[in-house]
Amino acid sequence: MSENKTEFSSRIGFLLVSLGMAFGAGNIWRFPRVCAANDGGAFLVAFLVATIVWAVPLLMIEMIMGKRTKLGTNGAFRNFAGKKNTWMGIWIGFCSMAIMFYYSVVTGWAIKYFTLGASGGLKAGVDTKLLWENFLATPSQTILFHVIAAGIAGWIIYKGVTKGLEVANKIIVPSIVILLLVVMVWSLSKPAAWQGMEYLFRPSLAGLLKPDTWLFAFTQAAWSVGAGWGLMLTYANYMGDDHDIGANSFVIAFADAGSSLLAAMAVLPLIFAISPSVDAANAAMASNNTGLTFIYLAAFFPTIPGGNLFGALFFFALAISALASLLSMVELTCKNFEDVGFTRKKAAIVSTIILILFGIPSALSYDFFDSQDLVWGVGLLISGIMFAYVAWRAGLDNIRDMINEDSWIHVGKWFNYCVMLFPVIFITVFGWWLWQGASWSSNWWAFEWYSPITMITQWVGLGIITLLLNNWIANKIKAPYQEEFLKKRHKGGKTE
Amino acid sequence: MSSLAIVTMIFMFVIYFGGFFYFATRPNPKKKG
Repeated sequence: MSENKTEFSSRIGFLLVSLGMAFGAGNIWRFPRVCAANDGGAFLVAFLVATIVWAVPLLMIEMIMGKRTKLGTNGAFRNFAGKKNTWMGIWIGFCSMAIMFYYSVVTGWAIKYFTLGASGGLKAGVDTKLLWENFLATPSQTILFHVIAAGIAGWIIYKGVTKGLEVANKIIVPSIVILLLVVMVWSLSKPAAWQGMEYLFRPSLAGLLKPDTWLFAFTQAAWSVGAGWGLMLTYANYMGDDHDIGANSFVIAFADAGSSLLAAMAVLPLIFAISPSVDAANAAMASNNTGLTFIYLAAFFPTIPGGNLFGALFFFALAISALASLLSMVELTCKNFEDVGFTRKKAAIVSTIILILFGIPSALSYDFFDSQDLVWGVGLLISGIMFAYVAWRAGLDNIRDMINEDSWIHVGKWFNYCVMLFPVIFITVFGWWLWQGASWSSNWWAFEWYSPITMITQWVGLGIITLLLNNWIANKIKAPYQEEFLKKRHKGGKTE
Repeated sequence: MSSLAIVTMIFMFVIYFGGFFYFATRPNPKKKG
């Protein structure tokens, strides 16, 4: 194990940084919409089940890999799964980097709309659809705000783990909760808001029997908690020796689910409170993430007293939520550079430059952005199954023993059963998304933005590249290769 | 808001936030006293 003395200052610090990673724009603009569209109460049950079955075991696997190896995705896979499987860590790292490129653009949009709201640019009567389309069609604007978002994230990562990452999240995470509570209380003070609450909490046993409820719930759990991205593996590098894995995994999962619920309780009543009619509220919820946020909500806010202020607060919450998640992706990239010998500062600068350059295509083309969101969002399911492969290869009981050695709670056999279910969940959800992609294209084999062949080509292409890079990167990692890392465990020996 | 929706809301609150507080307050078994 390499000597890495950088550690989070406390358990609270670690949890706040982890929650900042998990709580992103998707919790604010996707969860409430998907929840409302899938029988509210039924979805809330399915989402919690999906979080515990898929996300919690993945968080535990990621944490034990990061905490024991003190290496990023590439090195952790090399030491845990064997040198020839380093490519999986590289694949996961690239997948999260690809998300980072367009996520910075999203963060930039939220910053732009916060500045618009704060400066009074969102006035009653403004055609927000035209405003949004004009903004997207102005490259100097979209690139400028992408660079601002990347620059802020890069600067925080440059400052280091405790002085940058931890301090930023200690401010950001409580601020998000307070802002959401403020928006929620304000929306609930409006008479029509309670229709939104009815939408959110309507009980539906029939909804629990619908396949769509579960497919959307597992997809949301895979995207929302941030499990299987390699992000928690990276953060676990900086856990203290006495920091727990078992209870913390549940805390992060429940905190993400709870804050998603809080976001839904702020956004859904808000839509009903500020929509001119129930039809307008339904149209807003039927639109996509960006349509709901930057067209409908942007139009509704200024139409009522105090709306401008709360509009600005809402977009500020969205911007800092996205920023906290972006930080974790930049940290993942930075850590992999550090592992091959870059200094922290040099790694942060290189990661930021890469982010700025490769984010530009998404800043220039909304279609490219949306396509990348689909390709790498679904790609995260592949990342998740790669982590499950490592657990399976190490032996489920063996890896569970390792987790229990570092846990304040006992992780029982249920962990094994959940990981055994992963292939079934993967095939079902992954296959469903490919089928969705086919329904959005003229046919499976047409190279269009959302077609299955476009997605498959990018995943397989990345697979070939990472296989070619396998040995080169595995040998470049400075920390010694511990071939016997897991074999010793099987013989009952000590790993450290 | 219907009474059924209110019951669902309370139930979800207890599970979502109760789960969070339960796991957040687990003590470190290695620390005595």
